[in-house]
Amino acid sequence: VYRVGIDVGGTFTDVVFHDESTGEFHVRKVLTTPDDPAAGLLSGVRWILEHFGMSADEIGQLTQGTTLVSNALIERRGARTGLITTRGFRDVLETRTEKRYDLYDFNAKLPDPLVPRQLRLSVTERIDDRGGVVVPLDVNDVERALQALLAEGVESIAVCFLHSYINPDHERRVREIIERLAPHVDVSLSSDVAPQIREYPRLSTTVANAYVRRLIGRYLDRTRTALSDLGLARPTYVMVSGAVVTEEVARATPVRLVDSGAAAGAVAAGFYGGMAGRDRIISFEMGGTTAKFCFVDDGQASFSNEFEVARVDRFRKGSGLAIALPALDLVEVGAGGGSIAWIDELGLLRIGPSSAGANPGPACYGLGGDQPTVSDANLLLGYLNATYFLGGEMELDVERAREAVTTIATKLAMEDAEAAWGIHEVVTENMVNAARAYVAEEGRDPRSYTLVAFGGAGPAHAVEFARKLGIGEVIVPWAAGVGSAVGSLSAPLGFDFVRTYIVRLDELDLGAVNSLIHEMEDQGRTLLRAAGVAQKEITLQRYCNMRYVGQTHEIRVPLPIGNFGLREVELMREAYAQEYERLYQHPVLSYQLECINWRVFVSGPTPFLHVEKHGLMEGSDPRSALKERRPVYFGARGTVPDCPIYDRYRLLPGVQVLGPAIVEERESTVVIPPGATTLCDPFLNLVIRP
Amino acid sequence: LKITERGVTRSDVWELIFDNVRLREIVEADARAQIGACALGERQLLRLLDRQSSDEFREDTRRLFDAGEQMMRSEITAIPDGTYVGESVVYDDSPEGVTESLIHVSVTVDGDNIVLDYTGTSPQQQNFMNAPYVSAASAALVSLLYLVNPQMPHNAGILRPVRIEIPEGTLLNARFPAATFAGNKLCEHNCDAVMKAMARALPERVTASWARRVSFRMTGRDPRDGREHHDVLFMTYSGGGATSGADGYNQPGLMGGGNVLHQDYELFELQNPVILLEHEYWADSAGAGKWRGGMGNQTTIRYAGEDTLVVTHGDGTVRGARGAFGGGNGKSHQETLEYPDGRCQILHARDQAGPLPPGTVSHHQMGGGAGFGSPLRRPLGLVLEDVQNGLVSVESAARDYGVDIDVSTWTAFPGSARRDELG
Repeated sequence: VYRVGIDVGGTFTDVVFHDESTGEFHVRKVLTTPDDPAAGLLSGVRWILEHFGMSADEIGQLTQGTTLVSNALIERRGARTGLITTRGFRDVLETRTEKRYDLYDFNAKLPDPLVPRQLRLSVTERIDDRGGVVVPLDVNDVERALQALLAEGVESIAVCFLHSYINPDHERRVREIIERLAPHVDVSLSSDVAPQIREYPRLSTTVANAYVRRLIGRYLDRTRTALSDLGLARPTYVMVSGAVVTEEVARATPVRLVDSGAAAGAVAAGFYGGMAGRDRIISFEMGGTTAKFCFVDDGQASFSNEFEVARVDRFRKGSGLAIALPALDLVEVGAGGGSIAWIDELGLLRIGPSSAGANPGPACYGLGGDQPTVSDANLLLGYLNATYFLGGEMELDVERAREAVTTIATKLAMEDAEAAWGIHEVVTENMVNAARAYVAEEGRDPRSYTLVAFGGAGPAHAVEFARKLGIGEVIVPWAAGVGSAVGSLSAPLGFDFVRTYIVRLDELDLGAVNSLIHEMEDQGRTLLRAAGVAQKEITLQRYCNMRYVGQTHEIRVPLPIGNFGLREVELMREAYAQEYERLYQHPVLSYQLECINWRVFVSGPTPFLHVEKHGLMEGSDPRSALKERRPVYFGARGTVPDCPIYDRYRLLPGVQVLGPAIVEERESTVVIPPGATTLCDPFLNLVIRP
Repeated sequence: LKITERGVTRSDVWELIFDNVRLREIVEADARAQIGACALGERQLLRLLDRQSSDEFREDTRRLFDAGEQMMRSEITAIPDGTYVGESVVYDDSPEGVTESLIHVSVTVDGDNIVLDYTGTSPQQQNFMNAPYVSAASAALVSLLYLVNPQMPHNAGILRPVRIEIPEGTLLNARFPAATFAGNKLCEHNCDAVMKAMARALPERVTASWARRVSFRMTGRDPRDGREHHDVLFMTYSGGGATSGADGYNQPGLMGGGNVLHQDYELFELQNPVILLEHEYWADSAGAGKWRGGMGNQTTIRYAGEDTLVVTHGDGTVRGARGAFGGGNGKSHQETLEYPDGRCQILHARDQAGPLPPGTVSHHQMGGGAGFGSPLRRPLGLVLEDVQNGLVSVESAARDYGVDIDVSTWTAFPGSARRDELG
């Protein structure tokens, strides 16, 4: 069976082609066509068909990740969207959480709402917190609001009423009215998109869904037609957080695709970690503009129940649009190969968060960039090879890099090499600081984790990053530069569900809990079976968001599977105390517990990726893989004049490489500093002891 | 006296404190959260000391403080030398009448040092409208941080060039045993006084006045479960002042007291026996200006509980937020109780009422922030947008902004000769 994973990014489209019979992976980067995202996908598929001389119907599974939804929200390219709310509540989309994300900057702008006030209309209706109708829905009011929105040229409407998570009746009747009177308009109901308590995040999620729906629908139509023309008639899948979904689900709730582009890396990290027999992984991906990391325990990436998208200030919490869906708990830092170095008011060297991106790119790209970047520093330090960037497809300009770095070196009164080392160090330190804060918030100990490094710049910084964080092991997988796209091949088909049932743990109605959970699980099973998953291959996971009575934030507690009884209630109490202790210390055993949202994740089998395992050649010598020796600079050690440079593709399993050394592959470079040891494992991954 | 000794909470001390607190669970949970935060900090610090010797740690700390000091000094140097004076009036509006007191600050910038001197501030009050030194000094410092580079690191080093002098026995440094319940409320006035003082020196950094905070608290019995409920109604926060370059924040929480998160409507109804009828922007509540003040809101609540008592305290009912550099004032707050028998009662900023019969409705109209710069200079397009969005009325556009708007075609044109002159 052949499987294809395609990751359509802003600059490059990564393609991974996997032949299960041989266990081989083939990777390819093609340029994305920004104004036609389907083109990148199709050219990726065409490349496979031509390169391997096969016909489209031999492709067993095609999965794609796409940044289309997040980019549409960032660039505001969605449909003209209207909003219908309960009378008296049309401004919460704009007043948000009332939080200023920068306390000390009075000019810090909050994001404009996706729907301006004149397109936010309210109608007479009211449901209370028990689901009872306080004021019946005024149908004439709905029709008036609809006509007003149509007159404004609205193509998509979001509907969000108070307490619809418990009684969706009024929202559903609005949908009926719109479908009857304006069938061409898309409707998104909050009770479908994110049926959980808390008005603002539910509303924000529903509006984002309405905003991107048309765009995603058209995109999926176009790719569907074009793939059929190529002869690929099978349904394709789309990557979401930690799972893949069918095209139909992607069409109905496209907001689920917001982290589609970023999700693959964490899944890939879990896959490679599992391959190496490690169950505690930190996924670390560093590209041109940002670095992202996330915890993956026992193959499960860490999740949060809410996140933000389209931030005004990309790295500031609170400056984006809230999305109330389970998403990878991913930390993103403005640290990449293109991050620009500058000197601040204190005379200190700072890196990023602004980036030279791909255009003009780092000075060494020779495309007009003249600001010193991390890649320029890495080139001067001898880490990057000017004649082997992207396997030699692009030559780097050492002189331009030097000129750019000299501007910084002069201001710091340093040698060029010291300044370049400073840039390399500070960008690594930036990532480490963000990681430390994250580790502290999550209450985890990095010393018990293995780092799996990806992305064009990841393997060049991974070992230093691990050393500073106290991580004892780094794995750089085969084809690390594009390796994260492997994640889209190893993610299971999965769907998540949520229902709000607020109750004190002591007063839990077991019958209510069982019927609520079973209802969600049945819905999930039906979706999976429709997608061809056999009953016995279905996995269920349950969670509850709990808190102490009186608190305003919940923590996620895993629940046992099976019928819910008194024993399970006690297990919940223990699980909560355990989780609370990990996060905050000191659980308060005398406090009452309260359950808020109940969640179910239903998934199919995790796809088996056959990877060929090679025999280890004990004691074999890396010299057969030696390409050259060149001077390379390593901080305190200074310049190592004859540092060995190895060819990644000639390093055999069992080979040991002692630092200092550089290992070059087409899409990335592994930096092994003095003191680190590296072993090439049976799957051709480099396992490094920092 | 220790609350936690060798990692264990001393229950005798704990109980002594919390047996003397009325709404024990709320305050107790706050205290636990603070202790939890300290414990996390301790854990991280110990981890850092695993990697560093204590000498290295001290040396790094010293360097960070020195760098912070240097950064603060360079920011202060950029402010023109001189003494700048600002005042803010505190109105205590109660059923017995309105009394006024004054916060007076002289800010002296001398090279790379700065002094905030509150001499001239009114003597402490008989009632609880007083602040302890700590809260007043924090507000002074926060005001300064608003006026310098927002990326300034916050450590003890940045305090070295700053001196804060608050005479004892005044509103902002009350002497024992004066009541200081409203100390945090006075942070708003304190920041406002500093902004007014620095407007001349730093016109591009200050904000026009923010709407003041009047708290509204409710308590009673919830007939749904017989439990007691209480709420501090965070949703009636009001508009921020505009700056030279940005409209004020709409309902942004506090100026002097940091951020307070939005109260979720649904959780609010779950926790209190009320129906929230409305929570939207109040048209024309903000001060007009080249940069408009942030919007205030109107909130309406219907009560269904038993023994419902409500209490207000704060400021903002007598006068709205004051405009800067020709900007207009925000509206003042108005809070009214409407009883089931049709009778209405206007609440003062320090007041109480109850028990409220079920079916009573409270109306909260909260003024917005003040404007910055003459409204006649606000671009026509922005005025039009505000009118289309229902934030500014057609009448206010004509009267305050000098812009006539034809609502049938949504076109705007200068309606004032003065506007033409200003261009």
